[in-house]
Amino acid sequence: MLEINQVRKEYRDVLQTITAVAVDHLRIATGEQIALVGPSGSGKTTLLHLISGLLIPTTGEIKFNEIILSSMPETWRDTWRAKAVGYVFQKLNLLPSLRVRDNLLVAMSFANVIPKKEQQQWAIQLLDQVGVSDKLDKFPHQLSMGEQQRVAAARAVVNKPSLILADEPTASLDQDNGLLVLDMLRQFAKESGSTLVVSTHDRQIMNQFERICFLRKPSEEVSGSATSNRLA
Amino acid sequence: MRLLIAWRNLLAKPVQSGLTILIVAAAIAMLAVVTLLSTGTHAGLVRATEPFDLIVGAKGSPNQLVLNTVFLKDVPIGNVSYEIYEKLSENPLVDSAIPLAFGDNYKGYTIVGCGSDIFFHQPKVGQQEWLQFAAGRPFSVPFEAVVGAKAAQELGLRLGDEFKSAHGFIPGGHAHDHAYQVVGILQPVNGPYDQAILVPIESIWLAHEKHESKVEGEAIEDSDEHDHEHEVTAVLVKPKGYSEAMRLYQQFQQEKGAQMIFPAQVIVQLFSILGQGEQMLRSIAYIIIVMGLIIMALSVYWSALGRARDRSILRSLGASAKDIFTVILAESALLTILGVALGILTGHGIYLALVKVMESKAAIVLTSGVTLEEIYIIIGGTLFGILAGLIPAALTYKIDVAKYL
Repeated sequence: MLEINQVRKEYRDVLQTITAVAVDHLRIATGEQIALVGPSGSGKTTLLHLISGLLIPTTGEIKFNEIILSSMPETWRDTWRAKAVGYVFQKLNLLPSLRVRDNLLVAMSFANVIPKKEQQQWAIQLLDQVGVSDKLDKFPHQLSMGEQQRVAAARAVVNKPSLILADEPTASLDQDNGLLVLDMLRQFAKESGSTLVVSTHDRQIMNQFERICFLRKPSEEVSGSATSNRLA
Repeated sequence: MRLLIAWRNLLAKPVQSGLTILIVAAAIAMLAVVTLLSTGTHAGLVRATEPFDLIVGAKGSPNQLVLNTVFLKDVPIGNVSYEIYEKLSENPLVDSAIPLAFGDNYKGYTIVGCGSDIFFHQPKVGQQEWLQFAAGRPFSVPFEAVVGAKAAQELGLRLGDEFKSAHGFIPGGHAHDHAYQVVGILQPVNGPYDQAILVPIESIWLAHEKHESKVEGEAIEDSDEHDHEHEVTAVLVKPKGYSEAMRLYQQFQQEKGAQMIFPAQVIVQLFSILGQGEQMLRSIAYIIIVMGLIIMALSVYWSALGRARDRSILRSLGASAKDIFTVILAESALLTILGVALGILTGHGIYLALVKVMESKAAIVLTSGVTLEEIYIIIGGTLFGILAGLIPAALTYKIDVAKYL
């Protein structure tokens, strides 16, 4: 269960305080798949960073399976993220200096979830599942955008995470490739019982989800502290 | 895996990484060459002087006397009377005195007129004789010759071969009539005497008597230069012990016609003069190393700044800030290790080339191998490189992940 309560993320500069995201309350059940929707600047990416523990909220708390992420020390959050979170970004997901296979191995090296002896085989198996097993020793720049995103999807699930976050994973892909990547993530999440949160502004993508959470720009809030999200 | 990331990051910018490695390597190579040359030359020079406890020769420059007698270079200062040799050989403080006479050459190889007791000369008590035979025997009558290992090899001389010496120290001088016969070939001594041709001192006197007669016959007045009869160029003196050496040295200060020197001491003095130049080269090398490390730190820093997105991705994969720090530091460490390794290899390559030149030109055999100072350079260079890498690592490992993802 992922729970977000009264979370605000603010950035301060000399003249003003900018609220990047504000969420009153959001609960996502274990194994649930949701689409996170909102206009540009509504804080979708920031919210995903907060959920992944890359950022900590200015106020409020984020709990995942009863663990309060926002109060964990940074190193614990790093370890938790390595083991429990799979993250896909919009583009430039892969480490350009590493070969395709190594991009998966590096993710496994931080998590230590898959036994060392099985890591190579598991990486090859996953890359085979996403259709790039013939590109194991290629560098990311030698792959098409669609292939890169498929490798990124494989990397996101390589540690069998309980939470998969995808930040507009189809935005830089054509429709076919976009749907293919999304199907992969949804399929994996379904099979492994992982929670999947996908941010998107693509209507075709969001329509595939049973639950859609809308995130409004924090500045649009009358109270300045609450952002509503609703079930579609 | 962190090391692999660091390595791949370096490979991703081959020109930048290559240049950084080359700069570090150049500095280390320079320092290595200076160190190896210093150590090797010092050891080579000292080893060359080992058989020569004390040398007596004409008054003048001690350096010239050492260069001429020990290293067979330069021209002799002059001659001293045979009487000085006789007095020395009868001195109770002296274990042995060997007369040496120079003045002739064969194809540029110095002919050393000497007493046959040189073949029994032991640099240190209990050690084996300085000159060992690879073939043949010591000379026993005038105009027999014993050839040094390198001279025999380069001149192609074998036992039984005959050759005629020429007057002077460089090839092309007036040839003497009487031929020498090779009766012995020496084993290498790893010193200048590998290039010497040893003959009985009487041969030198006889050859020069004939040469002077000829010159007189041609009515050329040059009697001073050719007045070699019963004179020696130098005397190799082995005292009975250290205290005897000091007493002998003091006694000899009264002698007006000759000087007595400790060759090792002269070499040390010579080395201290050379040492100033060496120190300057070392200082330059250290400056280049510091500059190299600064460039390396800047290179890693700029490279790390340019890979902010990569580091953000790593953080999203669960890498801690410490992991990022380790990767950046590993990049510096790899650059340094490769630079130091390449520098040491290059340094040894240059040094080996110089050794060949020194051996052929100066007849000094330089020692090879890894020196203690070099180990300090390797450890110190690597440690300083890693320390320099701490700066870019500390400046860039903390990152605003949200800004780049």
